[in-house]
Amino acid sequence: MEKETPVSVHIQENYRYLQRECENCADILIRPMKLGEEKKTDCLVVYIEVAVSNMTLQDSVIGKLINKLWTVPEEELRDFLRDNSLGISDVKQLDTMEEAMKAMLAGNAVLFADGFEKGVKIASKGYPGMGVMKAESEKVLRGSNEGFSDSVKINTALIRKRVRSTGMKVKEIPLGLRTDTMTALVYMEDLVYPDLLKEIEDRLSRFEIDGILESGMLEQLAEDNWMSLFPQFQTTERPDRAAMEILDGRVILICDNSPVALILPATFNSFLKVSEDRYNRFGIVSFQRILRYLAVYLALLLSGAYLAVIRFHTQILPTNLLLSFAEARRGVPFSSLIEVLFMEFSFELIREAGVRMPGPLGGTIGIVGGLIIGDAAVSANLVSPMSVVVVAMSALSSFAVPNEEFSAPFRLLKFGFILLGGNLGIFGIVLGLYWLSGHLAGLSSFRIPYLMPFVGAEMNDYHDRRDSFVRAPFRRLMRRPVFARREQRIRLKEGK
Amino acid sequence: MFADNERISRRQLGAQILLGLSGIFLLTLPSLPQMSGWSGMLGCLLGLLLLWLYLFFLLRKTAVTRDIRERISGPVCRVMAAALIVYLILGGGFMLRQVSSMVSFRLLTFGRPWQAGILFLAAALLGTGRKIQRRARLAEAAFPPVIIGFTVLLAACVFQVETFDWSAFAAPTWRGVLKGAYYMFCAFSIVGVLPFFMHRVQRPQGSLPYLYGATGTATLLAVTCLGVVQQLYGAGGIGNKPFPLTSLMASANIPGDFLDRFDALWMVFLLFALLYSVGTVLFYSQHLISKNPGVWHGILAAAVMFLAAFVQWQGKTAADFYPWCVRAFFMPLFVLFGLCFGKIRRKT
Repeated sequence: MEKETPVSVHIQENYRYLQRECENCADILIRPMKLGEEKKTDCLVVYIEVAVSNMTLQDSVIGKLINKLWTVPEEELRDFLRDNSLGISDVKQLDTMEEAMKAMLAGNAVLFADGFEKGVKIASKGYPGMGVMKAESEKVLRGSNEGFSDSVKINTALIRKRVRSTGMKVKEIPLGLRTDTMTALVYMEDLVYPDLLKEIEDRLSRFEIDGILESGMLEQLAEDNWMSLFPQFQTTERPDRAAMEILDGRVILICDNSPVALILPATFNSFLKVSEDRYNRFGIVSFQRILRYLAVYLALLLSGAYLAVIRFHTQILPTNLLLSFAEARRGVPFSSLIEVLFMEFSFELIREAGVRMPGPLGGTIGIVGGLIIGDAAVSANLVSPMSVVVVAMSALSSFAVPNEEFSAPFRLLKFGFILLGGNLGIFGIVLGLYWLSGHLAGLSSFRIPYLMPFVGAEMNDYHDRRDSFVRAPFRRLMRRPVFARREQRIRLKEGK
Repeated sequence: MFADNERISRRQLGAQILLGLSGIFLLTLPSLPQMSGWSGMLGCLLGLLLLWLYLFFLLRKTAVTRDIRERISGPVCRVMAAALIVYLILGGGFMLRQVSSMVSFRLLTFGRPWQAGILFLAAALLGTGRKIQRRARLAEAAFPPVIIGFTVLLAACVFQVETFDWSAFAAPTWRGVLKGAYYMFCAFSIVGVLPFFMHRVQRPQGSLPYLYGATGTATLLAVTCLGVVQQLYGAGGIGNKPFPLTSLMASANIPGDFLDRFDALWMVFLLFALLYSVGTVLFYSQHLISKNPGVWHGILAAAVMFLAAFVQWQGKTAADFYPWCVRAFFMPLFVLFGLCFGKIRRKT
């Protein structure tokens, strides 16, 4: 158990403690001052320089407090602080120096007064952050464009803005021995399974780690099957998506300094949904869903299947198409397998370069790589036009998957299927598919099968299938999915 | 919420049986002379009825839904388990040999059957896992596309038939029908493992409709296949082909001229179903060898299966005896044991 140092009534002891702890921390300021009507009471304010407003500013909380304390008689100063007579909403009295250090490191100012046995935490503007941003990785045509920011407080407020109910609970859990990163579990108390919450909390507390800097680290530490390529936590940058998911009985995990929230549990089907699927009409949404499912299969199998057909099973192609393929490959010195591997690697390089290059250059890389290099490679007879088309289609398909963490394993496994299809034909493709299907069937996320609702759908009387491969009309989505408590499954009733 | 209790649903039980049997039925039944003509097709239906009767008695009249190890004495349990393991290994070897021959004949012209067999076994083992819930979920997710694929392609084949001439089929005989019925009944011999695993099914007493549905669907596919193959090739033509249905699929055509032939597409569904069948055999072998099987149990089972499939003695492998062993020994043993299960005293 950590040693606890109580706040001393003698300010010099507190001062020495702070000096010792904050030695060589040039960004942490310890300001002694004399307050009270006669300027006789020694006081101390400790804060992080850029996190706290200028204390002399009239419109800042700490400024108002300091200015007021200059007018309070010495004998009333301690009572004034004890009773929070200025009526500041976010003021908390701290009993120990460790609590004071924690509060200061969280971006607050802490005031000590000689003769007062507690420290006073005064909330301030906090660390600099990026504020509410646009959701860059989850673009939609319909719906709010707000995205999460770096601050856990702002992010929980963005969800609260949409779920104005005290049933939505925000449970804060500090993680990281050195970073003390604030994380928040957001959920609807009457919808979520208590076992699920407990499981999440247990997993978060299972590890002792020096620092949590992003939600991705939490994800990797708390997953069911960390060796799998497939993510078992879903991510979102959108508050409306987060609100939608907690109304479905899922839990949102927000990490300070990260604009990405985690949604749990996660299933294969949930990764292929976007927030505007609930805002649009069922016909359009169903078409888009089918496209996304098709995109997953194409991203995974198209290149491998192409190789399997042209290397082993040319008899299935119509004669004209076969001649066209043969003509396209005339003069290409490499085997089709090398050709496709070369193009796939090139695409991955272009993609990676495009992501890393700053701003305007990123788009240019796409044009340079895609058009010029691809065209030049065909003109130089290094690759055939057909392989460029196949690789491009495969790449487009991977971009059509809404969630980047979910499309990444398919992009990686595609290389395996290229090798299988290129060396063993359809036989190899099926072997790979069987292994992959078995792996996905064995995955789960907090005991929810990953392939839900294609398995276990009878648990919710097959209602989950109404929002899977296709989406039923909104009036038919009367039940919450299987994540919600059984007795709370009804979410929509017809009017009286 | 779901529980991680290693129990499967009744729907998943049915899915496992359907996916596990459909592929091997379509691959092997059309080449059996006992399945030719009206006798064969009527025999299939009669065999199905016999199976339904057996399942009815097994589930409703015996204690099969409780763990066998709690119901009977250790030595009897072990003997029965050993018999099942031999059955499964031989069956797996038989399927492996069939598949390897088909793959090397139709798909991979450069390799030997045993090479295809090794790859097939490895994939089946890797995709199988050691948990019953994983297998069940795989079956539940995979059986709709596979069965729909079979159905669509069979339907495409039906449209290749110019005229349906049922009179060309040999007239049914009682002997032929009964023989076909017994062959079909023996084709469902995998139900012999039910006494060992029914206690893993949630609410197993209500499994009958799901088992009826699965076995009925598999039989319907088999009968349709028999009818179409015989219409196109005739009873005599079937005997010349090692895998009549794969030849049939080569001639199927779907309007649109998208592809010239569909046998490769058909192979995808067939191979997937066969991988599941071999995986099923591997899975239950492991669990009969040990209650909590490790990696080495699976590798051991796979190795023995491979030997049974490919090691020859005087031109025959162990797997070649499988069909005869099922008809002469295993199926009667399973039926007797299953029906007597409820009469066996509780272990004291």
